[in-house]
Amino acid sequence: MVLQTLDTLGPQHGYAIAARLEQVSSGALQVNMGTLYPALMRLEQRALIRGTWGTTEANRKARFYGLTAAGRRQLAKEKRAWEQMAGIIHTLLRGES
Amino acid sequence: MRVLREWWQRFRSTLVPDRRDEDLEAELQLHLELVAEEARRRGDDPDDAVRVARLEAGGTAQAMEALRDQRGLLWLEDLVRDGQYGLRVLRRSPAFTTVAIVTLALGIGANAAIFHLIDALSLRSLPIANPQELAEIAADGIDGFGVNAGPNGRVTYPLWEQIQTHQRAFSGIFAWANAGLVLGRGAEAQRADGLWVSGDFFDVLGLVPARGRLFVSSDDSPACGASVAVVSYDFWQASLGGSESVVGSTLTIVSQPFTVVGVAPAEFTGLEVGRGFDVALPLCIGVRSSGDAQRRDLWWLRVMGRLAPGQTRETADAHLNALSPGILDATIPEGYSADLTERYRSFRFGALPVGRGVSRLRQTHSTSLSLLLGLTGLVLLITCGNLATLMLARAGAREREIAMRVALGAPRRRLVSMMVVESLLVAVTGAAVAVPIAVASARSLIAFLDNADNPIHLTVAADWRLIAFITAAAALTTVLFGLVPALRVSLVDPIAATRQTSRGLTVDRHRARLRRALVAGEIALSLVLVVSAALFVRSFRNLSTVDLGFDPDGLIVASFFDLGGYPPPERRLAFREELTSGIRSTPGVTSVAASTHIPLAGDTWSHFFRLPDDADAKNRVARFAYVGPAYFGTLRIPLLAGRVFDEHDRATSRRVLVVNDAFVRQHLRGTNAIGTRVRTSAEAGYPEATYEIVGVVGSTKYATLRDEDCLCDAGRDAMPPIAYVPIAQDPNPTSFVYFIARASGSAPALTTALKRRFESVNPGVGVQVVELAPRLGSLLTTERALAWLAGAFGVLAIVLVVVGLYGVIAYLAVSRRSEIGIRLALGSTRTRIVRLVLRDSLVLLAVGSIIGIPLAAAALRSAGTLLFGISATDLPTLAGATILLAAAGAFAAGLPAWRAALLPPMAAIRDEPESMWRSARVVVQRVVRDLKTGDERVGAGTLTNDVAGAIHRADSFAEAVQVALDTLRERVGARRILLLEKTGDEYRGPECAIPASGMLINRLTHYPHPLPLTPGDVHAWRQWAREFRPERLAEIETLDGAGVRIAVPLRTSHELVAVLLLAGPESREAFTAAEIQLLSGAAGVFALLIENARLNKRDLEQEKVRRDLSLAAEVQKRLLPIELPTAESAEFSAASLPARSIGGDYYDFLSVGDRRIGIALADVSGKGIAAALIMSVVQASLRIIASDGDVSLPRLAARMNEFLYRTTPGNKYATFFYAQLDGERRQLRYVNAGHNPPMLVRAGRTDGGNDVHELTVGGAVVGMLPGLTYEEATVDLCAGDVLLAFTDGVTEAHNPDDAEFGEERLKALIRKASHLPAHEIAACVSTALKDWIRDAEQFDDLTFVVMKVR
Repeated sequence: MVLQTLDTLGPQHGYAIAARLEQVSSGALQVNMGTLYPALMRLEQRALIRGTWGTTEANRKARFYGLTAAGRRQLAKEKRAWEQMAGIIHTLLRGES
Repeated sequence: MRVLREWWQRFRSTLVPDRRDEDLEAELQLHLELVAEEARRRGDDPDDAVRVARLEAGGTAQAMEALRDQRGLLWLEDLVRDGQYGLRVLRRSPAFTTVAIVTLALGIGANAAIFHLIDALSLRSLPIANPQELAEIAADGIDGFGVNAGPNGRVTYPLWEQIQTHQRAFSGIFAWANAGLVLGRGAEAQRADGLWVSGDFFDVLGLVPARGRLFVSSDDSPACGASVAVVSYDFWQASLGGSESVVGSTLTIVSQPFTVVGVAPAEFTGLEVGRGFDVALPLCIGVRSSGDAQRRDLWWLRVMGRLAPGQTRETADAHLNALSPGILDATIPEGYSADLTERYRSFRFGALPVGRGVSRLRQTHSTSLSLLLGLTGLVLLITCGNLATLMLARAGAREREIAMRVALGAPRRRLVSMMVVESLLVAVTGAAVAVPIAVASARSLIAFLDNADNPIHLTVAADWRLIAFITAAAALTTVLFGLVPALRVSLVDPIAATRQTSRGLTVDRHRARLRRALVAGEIALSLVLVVSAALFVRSFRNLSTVDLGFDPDGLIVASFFDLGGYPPPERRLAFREELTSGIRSTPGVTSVAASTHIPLAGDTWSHFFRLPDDADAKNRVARFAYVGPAYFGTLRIPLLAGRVFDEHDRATSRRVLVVNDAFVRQHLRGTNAIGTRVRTSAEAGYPEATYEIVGVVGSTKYATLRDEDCLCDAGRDAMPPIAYVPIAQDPNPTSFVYFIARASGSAPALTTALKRRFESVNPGVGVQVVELAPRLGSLLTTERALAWLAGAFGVLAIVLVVVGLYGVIAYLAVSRRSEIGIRLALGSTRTRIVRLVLRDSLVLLAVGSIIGIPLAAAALRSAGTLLFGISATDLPTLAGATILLAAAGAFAAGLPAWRAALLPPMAAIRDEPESMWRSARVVVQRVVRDLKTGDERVGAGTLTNDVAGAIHRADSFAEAVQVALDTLRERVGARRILLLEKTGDEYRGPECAIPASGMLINRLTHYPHPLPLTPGDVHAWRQWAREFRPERLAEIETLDGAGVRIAVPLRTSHELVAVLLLAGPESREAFTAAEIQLLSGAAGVFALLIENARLNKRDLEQEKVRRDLSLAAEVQKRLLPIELPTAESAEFSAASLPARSIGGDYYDFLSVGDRRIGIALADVSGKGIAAALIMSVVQASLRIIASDGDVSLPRLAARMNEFLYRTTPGNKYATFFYAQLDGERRQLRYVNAGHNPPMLVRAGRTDGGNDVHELTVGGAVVGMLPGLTYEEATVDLCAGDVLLAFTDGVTEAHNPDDAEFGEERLKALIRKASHLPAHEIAACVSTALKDWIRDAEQFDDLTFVVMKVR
């Protein structure tokens, strides 16, 4: 989801990612700091995203995370996997009803 | 893949953090700010939003924690941190660290060195292709059959030819033999280790030349054309300069030119491990140049082969076995007797594994090396044991720290890892230091064992096997000395450990038990080492003092070998005669004899023989030697009977024999030997012959000192039976002979003289002249090395035991200090105390010995073959070693025992002050030492001794200080001495005081030495002060008034604790330099005394107060009634919430008879012990007075007042409320002596505003003033009325905002709760109070009593 967000919005800082996730899910997904930042760090350690310090529109120093090429590939792969999965479940559920 | 990358990143950032904590924090901070901003935009309260965000994330701290977890590898970080911590800890105690590392390094190094040698000798395979395919072809039982040429003789040349022709099991076979060669000519000639090798030698081994080529089959053809040679890599480098032009160059070997065709690979040093080679020559040349080489009875070759594909050693074995009869039949040697021939035919060849090379060294040294490895292993174990006890002791010292960590939530796993990492650091450093030690020791051991007769060529370098061994040893030692104590310590009970002082024994006992076990084990192991040391030293002594039977000193052995100029066989006898007379005529030679045998050179020559009486064909065997007539005289072998040889015993005369005493004893049962005929069995070159014994000489050693195969009963004085034949009657006149000469003067000088004389005679004859005695010494190399090493290990073991035992006993003695003090105080004598402490160590020694003796006996049984003249279980040795070890152990234990007994009893019992006494004494000792070098005129040494003595005898610190001061004053001759201790902002003594901010103290603060004050100084100060600082005048007057001439600062590390002021010396102007130095030294002692006294006083006071408080609280609790009274008319309840410190609240219910119940509530002024005591007075007096039920309440109050007034100091008083409930009349009488008015809630009138009555009638507080009078009041009660009496703690209860609970709140509360039963009302009040107070600290007890009328 983080990857998707970054893919859609381009490089973003942590809060923006959280806000976006919250907004997209209409508040169903509340991402707290204790989950978000370690997750970002893990993605960064896996070289799927890259974080750099920059300034926000409000002229604040913030760490921006952007997708790397590997991240983009990973996103595509997971999307595919998810669609496949969703398709299966969808079929299954429909088949049973 | 991605996950791997993640781990790698985490690993990296553990070592090099790429994102620091501040960085992470900044990011989180921004997040929170943005949340707040967002909230602001929405119009929410931003603070709330941030709080919510924080709550969601579980707080910034938790988020940080999660990030840190994700960032690195936590365990790795921990490990790194443990490492840093360990380094710090180790650096803090450099002595321990150094000792630990050095002992470990030595222990591991010694083990590694021995391992390295064993490895080099036994474990390493030959540096050849597929060594496991290599097998040796040899037969069992050939040792000692026929003529053995050198230690590697297994096969004769005819046999080699047969095997080569017939075998089918090997893809290739080769033969080789050692060759003693002479390189060069004449004076330049040098000896070289050569190899005769058959043509396929290098090919079968699969070796690749370093330069040029190796031999091929054609080099060893029967035609044997070219004289070619292959040199070893080492020889090429060392002797040929490593030049590239080596191939094609010419070497002169045994006077013949050889062309070097190649260099063997560097790693190949021959097939015999530990013995290198210089030159390899084709076998055919060896055969061609010596007429003997093809003899059928000369066993001089070794044959090896590479198994053909599909063959195993077993199939090859069977194949060779089957071939054997044919091969043997074709090569039967001539001249053997029938039974010997039969034995020859019975040999069976087989394939023996050879992948690890042949090694004589391995055979000679493997037992001793294994033994040494065992011994060094024991040393390492003992070292580990010692380190473990050291670690335990350290852990004990750190127990509080560890307990604190446990209490703070450190998991045991982390504690263990912390301590193990610490041990690991020691072990790793030790191991690192051990590598060079191991290599150096291995080298020196080789140098020690290497000698001319038994050269050792082993490469010693730190290879991976050595490193692996050392690593394993380090790991093992870490586990042994680190893990066990670590586990033990981690089990510490934090509560017990933090509470315990050094006098406790509960936790220590386990560790003491572990330490005892360790030390007992150490003693057992040490005993093995000490026993082995004793055995090997005695064995070596036996060997070096063994009776040889002849006198080796001054004997010189000369030998002459063929360098191409040797006369032909028929001229040999004449040549021998020439040489004999030539030697005899050399100045300095007393006598000379030719002999085929040199005693103790290791060679043996035996013959089977029969005596005339022997009915059966049973062969007897004896050593034979062919000697010249002067042999016995030259060697100084005594003639016992008959005659020795003379010039008349010629080749043609009657064959005669001289036998030794042992021969007579063993074969002739001591009968008169002269005239007995001895018939020898036939052997190749030695036809059957009959000799007549003409003389008997003293027995001598023959081949070796031990003579294990002496054909006799082995033992210290065992001598082999020897038969001597005149050399002229030697059936083989061409045998090689030696010439043994006795020097009349200096043997070395004669050696050189002989060498010079014969070297120039004939360049074709090489000459070698050596002294016999030094060679005999070198025979004992191994034994000497063993004796030295075992001795050293034994000493080391004793030292380790002494250290270990000392540590344990000292530790036990310290932990039993209180007990010892009590014993001393109760009249036990010092001797008894010593015995008591010693008993511990004696038990350890006994246990250690009981385990150790059988252990030693068992462990050393295998070493029996290495011993000489002493059995491995020699009783005196065992006993002696045990006694020695026990004595050393008793000594080690005696020291701490004696020290324990020397404690002053009071110091011992009081424990803590003891450390002060001790440290003071240490300082005194140091000062004594310092002053020993000082001026003796003032008796510096004696002074401090006196001071020390005084301190020792004194009962209190004040007294000690006073005595010390007096002593000091006397010694320096001062009229007065004043000690001004720092108290607040001045320095005060018994007679005067000076301000801390005054001139003198200011000067002393920056002046470390005694400051002399001359009258001039004082005058100048006074002038100056009068002018500028009048306020300083008082201080100066004080100093002047006391006549102070010198001021000595007494300082501890951080402050000036006191000043010592001395008035001038009586008859002199000023103090001498020596006296000042003395004062300076004494200052240290005083400063320490004072500092300790202060610290101690503070500690003791606090401790006392704490103890008193808990005691008082206990007493107080017991004074309060446990049970509530029961009555028909009313129900009661009471509660007391104790404050932090003990207070003086008191309530009581008294049954006064006639259904009357007394209710008392009192609050004693003040807090602490005093209040508690007064409270107990109140309780006691009340109970006494109130027991008279009819006493009027005013009178009761008045009497209470008198009581308290009399028994307590004037500033102490109590407020007091006493009521008596008359159940029958439903009346309450009461008196209120200055107490907070209790509340009476009237039932049924809850609607009105004035339903709560305050009971105020009474008088003033009790105990303050004498003769006070009181009033009482009576209240009629209705059912449902509630009385609430309380102390001021209740209304004055503070909440965290410092607001009081207040009477109004209480009134409202009681009003609301008055319909409840009494105990519920009480609970209600308690709850309300608790809710009010929450976590605010209360300074007073909260006590109240509830009565509800039924």
